[in-house]
Amino acid sequence: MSDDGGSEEAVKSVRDLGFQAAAEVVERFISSMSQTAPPTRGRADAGSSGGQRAAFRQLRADLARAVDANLDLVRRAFDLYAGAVDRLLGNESSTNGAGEGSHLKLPPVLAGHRASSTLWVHNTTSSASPALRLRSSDLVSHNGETIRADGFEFDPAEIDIAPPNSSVAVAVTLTIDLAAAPGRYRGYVFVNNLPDEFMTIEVEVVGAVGESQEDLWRDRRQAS
Amino acid sequence: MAGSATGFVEDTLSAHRELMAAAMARYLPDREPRRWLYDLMATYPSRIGKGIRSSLCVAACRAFGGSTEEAMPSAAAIELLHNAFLVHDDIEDGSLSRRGLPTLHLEHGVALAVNAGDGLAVAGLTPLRDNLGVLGSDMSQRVLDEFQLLLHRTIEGQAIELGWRSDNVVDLTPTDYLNMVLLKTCSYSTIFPLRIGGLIGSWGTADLDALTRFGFHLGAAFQIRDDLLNLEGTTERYGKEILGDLYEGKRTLMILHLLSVADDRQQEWLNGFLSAGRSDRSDSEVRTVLSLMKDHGSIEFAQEFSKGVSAAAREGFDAAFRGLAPSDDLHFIEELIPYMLDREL
Repeated sequence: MSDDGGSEEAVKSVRDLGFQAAAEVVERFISSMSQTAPPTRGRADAGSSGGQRAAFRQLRADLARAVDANLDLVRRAFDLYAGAVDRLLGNESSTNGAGEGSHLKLPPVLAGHRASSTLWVHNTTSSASPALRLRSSDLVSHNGETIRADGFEFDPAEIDIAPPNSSVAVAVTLTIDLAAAPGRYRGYVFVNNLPDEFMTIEVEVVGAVGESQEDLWRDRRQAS
Repeated sequence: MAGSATGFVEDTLSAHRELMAAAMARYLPDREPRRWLYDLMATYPSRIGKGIRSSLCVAACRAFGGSTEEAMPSAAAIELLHNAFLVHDDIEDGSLSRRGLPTLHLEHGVALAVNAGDGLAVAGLTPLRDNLGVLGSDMSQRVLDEFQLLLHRTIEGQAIELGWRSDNVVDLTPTDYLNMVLLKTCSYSTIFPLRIGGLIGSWGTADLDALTRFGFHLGAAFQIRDDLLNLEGTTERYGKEILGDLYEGKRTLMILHLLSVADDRQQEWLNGFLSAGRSDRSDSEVRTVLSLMKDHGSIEFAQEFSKGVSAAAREGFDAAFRGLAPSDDLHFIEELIPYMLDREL
């Protein structure tokens, strides 16, 4: 290009080469994606005008968002109630009744880590309940080890108002102390202003791989 | 006018960086073993970069009607994966400096750096799980699908570039180069940040192909400019090792052009230069390659080629965001085009 003084034509041909080569590469990529990617849910109508298309797209997005949010809520509620029914059915033949209220089992967690889940606060009364706050008891293992209640975080920390006969989702996060011993811990979650609403909560602290060997090693060193 | 647009872009990037720093602090564990892992994982994120990838994701989400909160977990995952790639790329490329400071493997050794890179990639999984609480299960699954594509394509691109160097492949065209850049760089730098942001913001109704086109052209034009800056920039402004691409034997557009126009004797010498290991390439040889590039117009070729790709980026923006209501976020994305592509050489 510089050999002929960089004529305008040569410059243009290089730019065109860039433009065309890039177009070729990206179209091939898009084509390959359509063969491997899951189908997109749909697009705005290409035939309509820009403003209508944007408005339609926004409407679809809002609707899809609302539907997904509600489906998720329904799914979680179903899981919760199905779990409760399951436990109730199981309790009929069990000598260890779990008592009243629902049950939340947090995912297994390593000491020093956090376990998170969602619980539902049900206002089954016929009046709205304001300023609801959740509190947990300490969690206790069968050996008497405890996970202190101050490791719990609830989001939102306070439910401004729960309408009558409604359910409100609360994200619960439990931070496990690094020194917590492996084992199952159980406790209760209560809701102020709703004396009949409580939940049993359970978390399993799992030991890191090799921890038992580490304990043995420590024991041997102490013994020696 | 240009100055105020640049100021707007930099102010927006700065605001996004603050949000991202808080998110990253949440996802980077603060516990033992700090000295051998977690402090290392925090090293690159703590070296201030531009934050263009995460900003593109957040801005695209908001431009399409979504919220910052909806985009943040995915944007954080992109940043964590980006930093993971940087750590591993620096080792694979034998790079010496990153964001103006020594690379992680130079500071701590290859083994610890590889492990820290693994840690950053794993840390990127947590925000994707957090998407469940923000986006619900269906949209989270779709975002996860996008991340899966992003990761596959990026690793394929890196493999192609490493393979070219490993097998001393020199018979390459600009299309080969662009294809490699699309996979290796554009996928996680521009294409998928835009796609993921647009997907969330529009709740699945955005034209993802149009976002892919825009993202690729923007990213490819930026990469060519970046390759040019590597030859002619200054360490202060460029942040990486000047002439590092030549020391590493990278197949840039300039090298490909030079190989296509050099005479037989020069080509033979260039083949030998490119087949050597990094430590075998002397300063004088690197200077010779640069001189040949200047003599043969390889730098001007890449500059003009990049302008063609840049023009496609400008067209691509219009197609990707057509019909959206004006917003600061849309303005930011539009102004990113000159900000990224008109950098002084």
